[in-house]
Amino acid sequence: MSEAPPPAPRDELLVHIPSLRAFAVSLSGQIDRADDLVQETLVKAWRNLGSFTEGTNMRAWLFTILRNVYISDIRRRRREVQDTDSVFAESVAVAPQQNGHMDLADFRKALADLPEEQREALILIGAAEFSYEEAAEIAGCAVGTVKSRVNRARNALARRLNLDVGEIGLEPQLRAALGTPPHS
Amino acid sequence: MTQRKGEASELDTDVQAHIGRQLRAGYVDILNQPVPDRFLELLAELDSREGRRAGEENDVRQNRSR
Repeated sequence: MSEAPPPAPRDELLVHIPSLRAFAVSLSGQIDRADDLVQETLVKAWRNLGSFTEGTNMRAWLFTILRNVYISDIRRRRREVQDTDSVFAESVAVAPQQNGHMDLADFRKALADLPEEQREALILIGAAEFSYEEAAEIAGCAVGTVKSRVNRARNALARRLNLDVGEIGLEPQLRAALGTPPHS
Repeated sequence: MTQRKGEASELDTDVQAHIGRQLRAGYVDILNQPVPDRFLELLAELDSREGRRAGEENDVRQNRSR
């Protein structure tokens, strides 16, 4: 029985860079900082490729590394800055440009103000579209914990953004996508 | 469709859709960007730096799996 040679690690990592960046930007709210997080993640991943189990989900493995890199980064910043509020304020320095974009800027601010663990859970489920099981693995907690964090995050955002349902168009597909957790 | 219990049931599905749309929009924005050069350079550097060593490790790994 002949096996196909495994793809070069370099190519395998390359495939996942766009989603790592999207995850890092969503977590940190800043593109420059996000790219530094991705850089550190790639170096760590490269060094630890031996501990990755082939045939398992590499994207989830990389997200776990990035998540840990991000948390160390936050701890480091907290020690340096001694002021969590300014870290968060800095992380949402996205000025609303046009009226049409106000919504998104408000949303980013609200997202950035969520507790870390809630924001992380919401991004993993609602944006990166991991299953609850995968998200639990990445966040290092129970599946039920992910679910409750996502629910709390959604409720907090809804309250914070003062959403008026009447102004929001119905999008059944999106609603369905959000209403049911993705399965892999 | 699964029924959500407790707090979540108070949250209208349209509000959820709105939140999901915003969340996904920012994410997909970045997802669709080309990989910045700094990462291509980084991977090339890691590859060349560990090229020789990786070769030896691969031999060991293959021998072990047989």
